[in-house]
Amino acid sequence: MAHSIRIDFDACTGCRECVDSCFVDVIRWDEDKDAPFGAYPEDCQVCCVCEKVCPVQAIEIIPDWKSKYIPEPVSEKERCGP
Amino acid sequence: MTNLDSLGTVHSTDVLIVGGGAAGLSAAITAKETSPELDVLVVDKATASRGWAGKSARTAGLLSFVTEQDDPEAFVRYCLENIGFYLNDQLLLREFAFSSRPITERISSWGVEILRREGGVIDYAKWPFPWGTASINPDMCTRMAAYARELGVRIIDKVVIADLMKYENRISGAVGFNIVNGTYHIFEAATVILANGSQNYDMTLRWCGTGNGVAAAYWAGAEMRNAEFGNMCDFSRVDPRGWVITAGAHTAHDYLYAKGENISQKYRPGLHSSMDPIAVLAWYRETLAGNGPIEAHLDAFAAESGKFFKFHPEALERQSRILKKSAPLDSQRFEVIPGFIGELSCVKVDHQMRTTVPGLFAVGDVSGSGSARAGAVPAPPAKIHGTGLLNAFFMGMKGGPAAAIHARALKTYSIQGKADYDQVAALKEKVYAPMNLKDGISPRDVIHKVQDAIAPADRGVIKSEERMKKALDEITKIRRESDAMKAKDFHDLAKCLDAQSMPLCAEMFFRSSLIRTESRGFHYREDYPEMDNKNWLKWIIVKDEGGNMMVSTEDIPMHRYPYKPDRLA
Repeated sequence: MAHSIRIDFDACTGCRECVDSCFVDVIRWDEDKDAPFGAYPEDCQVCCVCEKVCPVQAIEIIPDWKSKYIPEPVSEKERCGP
Repeated sequence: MTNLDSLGTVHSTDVLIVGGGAAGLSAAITAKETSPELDVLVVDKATASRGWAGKSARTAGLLSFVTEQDDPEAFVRYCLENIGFYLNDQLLLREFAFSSRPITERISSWGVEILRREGGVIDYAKWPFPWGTASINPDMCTRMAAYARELGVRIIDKVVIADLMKYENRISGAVGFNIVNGTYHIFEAATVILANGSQNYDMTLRWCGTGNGVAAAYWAGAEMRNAEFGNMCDFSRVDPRGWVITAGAHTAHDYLYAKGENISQKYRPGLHSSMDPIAVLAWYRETLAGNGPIEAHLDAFAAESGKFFKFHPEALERQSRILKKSAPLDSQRFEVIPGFIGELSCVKVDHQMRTTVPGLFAVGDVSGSGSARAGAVPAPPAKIHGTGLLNAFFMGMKGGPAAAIHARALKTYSIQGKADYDQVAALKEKVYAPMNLKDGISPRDVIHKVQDAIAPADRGVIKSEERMKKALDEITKIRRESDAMKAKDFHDLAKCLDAQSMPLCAEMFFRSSLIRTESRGFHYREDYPEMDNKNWLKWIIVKDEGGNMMVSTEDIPMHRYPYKPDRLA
């Protein structure tokens, strides 16, 4: 699983603000459908700037927090006690 | 002669700036203002032309500076005694202190919006330390990009720089590819400014430094400095529903509790300006003692926060939007674990932001620690909220004009950036190799292995020789594995660059940390817990020599500096 990038295609005006504002290349433009799409949701940083810049509130980030890989907080677990 | 155009699109410029965030745009603007006749070209993998590149637009919009109530000399002394612990370049630190107020006015003239009181005076929250924290609109780069374009700065979007090029031991340009369509781009430039950020190991949300600039500088032969301090560490929130949010517990450092006791006060009494390894040490020791889970009590913080933080309405709106997504708990008390951030920023630069490679400059997060301005910390010092932005502007404003003067001098002697066909062909083959492999490890798997090696509290923050040697063994293995990565597409190919930079940066960090047999600032060793001014008023230097990572030391020129630890002890 990964974060979801939900787009309301009926509301979307095709201004591409969400594509431009994404600094981690998560949102791309689908040339065939002439619409934005969440191409790499696993890389979403949940900054939500895309939501903010959308003039018609057509995009929503729905995080899946469990999808983030989290290393052990201590490498030597046996030292952590019970 | 074989045609370079057959390898990719060739661009020629006088000053190439790699990275279009706050530091890169500051450098671009000031380079162009210094020498309007020069061609200045910014290249970034995001949409820098509209100001959407870099981390700045994702920050809380805090800008700390030495206010009119503060004595800049007191700021210098505070930084030396409490933050950098005399590993600072004191001359650069002093310049930083005295120029911070003029910087706030300069960026305002570029259209950057800082909250002001009636009468136009900058509003700020005053810390009981020699600085204040102003509130800035996080859309700063959109204003700066527009201003840069008005001045005639060119900006190319969606291209990631993979390698620097050299000709007769000096910088001659850079090469990279478009992350959307995969086209190859060759930039001929005899003056290059790296402004593409620190190494954050893809651990904590919105701290997205890939370390690609650090790696590119290293492979170009540039010296690194202060790599042992690339270990900023925050706290992450553990949600009882079974997940961890790697952002949002940034204020927990003074409010950690174990079994009802405030352990922050136990381990580091008093008010602190921000995080340091001792906050992590408190979590670590109490966890080992079986006193976990460790909780943050933000209700205690709430009473204090209004004193030290003011936010621009735009920043507040963004924070509230993110907070809603983070599934806020009803309670202001929650379990935390250390959340590694890194901020390795070790490209060594002098007062003009020149690296040790002729023609190569570095500004902002890529060289924050490497400048030695902030001392024994991941720079911009994690000990002061809001100096990240000030540091980006400061370094950009120093590096831009210096690079312009350098480029102008080269033009006088008709020295231009020059791409060598064979060199470019070899670099192109190397960078696209993961696209041509049938099978191989994914860059994400490599990144997770690096995270396992460096992010645990007892690896990256609470260090010991034994554990660091284990980590180095793992890193060496990961570096070998990363030679056989498979990329699915060009976005993934950019991830492969990140996955190559990460283990390299982790190796610099651990090799430097092993040498420093003391504790100082963000470098905390369980086996050497004391600061040792007799032996360790030295910088650790890392450099590539024929494929080997060489580590050496450089004495700090204390005789040239006004403040010495013994005088103030």
